[in-house]
Amino acid sequence: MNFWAKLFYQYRKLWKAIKIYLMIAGPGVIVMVADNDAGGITTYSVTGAQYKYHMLWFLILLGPVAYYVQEMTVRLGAVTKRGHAEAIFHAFGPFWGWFSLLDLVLTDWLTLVTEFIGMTAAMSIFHVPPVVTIIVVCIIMGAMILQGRYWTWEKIAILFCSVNLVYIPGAFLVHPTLSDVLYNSVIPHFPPGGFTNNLFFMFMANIGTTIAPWMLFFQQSAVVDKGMKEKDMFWGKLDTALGSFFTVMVAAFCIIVTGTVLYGTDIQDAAQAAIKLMSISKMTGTLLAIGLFDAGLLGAICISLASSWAFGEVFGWAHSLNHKIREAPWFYAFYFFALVSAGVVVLIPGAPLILITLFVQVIAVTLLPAALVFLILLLNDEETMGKYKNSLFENIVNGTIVAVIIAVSTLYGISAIFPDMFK
Amino acid sequence: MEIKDILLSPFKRVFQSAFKQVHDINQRYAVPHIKMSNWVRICLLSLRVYLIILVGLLFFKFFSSLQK
Repeated sequence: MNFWAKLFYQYRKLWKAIKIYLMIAGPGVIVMVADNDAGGITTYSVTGAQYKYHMLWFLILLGPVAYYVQEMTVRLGAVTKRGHAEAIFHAFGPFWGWFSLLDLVLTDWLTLVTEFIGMTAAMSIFHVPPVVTIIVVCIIMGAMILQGRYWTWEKIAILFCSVNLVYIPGAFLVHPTLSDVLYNSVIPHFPPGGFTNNLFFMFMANIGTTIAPWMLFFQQSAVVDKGMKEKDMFWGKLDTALGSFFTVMVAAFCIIVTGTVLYGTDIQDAAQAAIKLMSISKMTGTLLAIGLFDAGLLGAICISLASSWAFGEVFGWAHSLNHKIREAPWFYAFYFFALVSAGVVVLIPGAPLILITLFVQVIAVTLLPAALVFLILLLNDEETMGKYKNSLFENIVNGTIVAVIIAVSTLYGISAIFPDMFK
Repeated sequence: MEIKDILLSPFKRVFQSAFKQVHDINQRYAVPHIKMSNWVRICLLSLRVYLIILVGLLFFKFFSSLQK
């Protein structure tokens, strides 16, 4: 074979691989990018404003952490063809099943409220009234699922994921010092002032935004709804790896934006950061606000589906996005009920929104350890997983990650109950 | 048939249907399918203890807030 023939063969092989990836890609990228939801963007904005680029290295470390945890849901979904809720019922019985399902529904609904808070705050910057934002969001999300095809829903969600990349041009607009960014990204160190209670709180907050209970349930259900099989596992893992790369990149660029312009400024949330940025650089502030809205929207898209899928699996309702509304009425009814009720709560004058935001952290802490432990146990069950069960290396890595996440998220949840603990 | 029965019967039907569904689910998943090794038992017991402590902390916070 001459050189050109070999090159053409390699090109065809690569193109075929890309086509297969594009067919299978979706759940991993969507869940990972949606992980940077409205709460996540607030955490990154505050991190940048308080510690400039000094926590970039830590954020980069969280990429592999997210990958290793989510990769397990790909394997479990592809092998068992069950969502996480159904898998828990099947393996551990009704007690743990109901606990996980009801806790998930409560956590998801409260998180959905926080996504609406983020979206309405972002659109308020553009003088859009909250009621209009909520109606438009409900229409967009309704239209996305009512078109009756998982594939179309997924590609629209990926389009929204790409909007999340607005932080990259935003960072270039504020001209950060490249050498500073690179140094702080690769050299682990504590910020000036050393290890303080506040720094510990920020570490916990960043870990807390990396893995959320809904992510496990969402990705496993999405893998099942997409019809991924054992032979597609490599591509599912690649999709998850690519997603974890994107999630870290978006978070890092968000920190670079606020770290460059707002370092030393007292900000409480991402909307406040966007407003302050607008007075310095209108375009950057606008991009941050658009990013915040998109983050809330992506979070809402995934979270509302995670609950509906879980309920559908356990109750035996038709629960695929490939079904029309008349074929899966309960699945869609549950989806819209969660969506609309969360939106309405945000519009109630005097609703305890700050309390809800704090309560989410506490409730998530009751579910996350259980969901992670069940995941590890299921991935070690030979009868369930066969040759796809965790290897010794995976058990060491995943076990360590899960132990650290449980410890840190518990402390984070307790800090929400007792706010003075880490101050 | 009394008017009270006419008004309550749709709710009664919904609740009966929901309870039946929950009962069916409990029956369907009554037997845990995971191999109950000692390691699995320890993990599940630890989870129960963890949740009891966490719920205890929540109650403590709730009642101490009420006392203030």
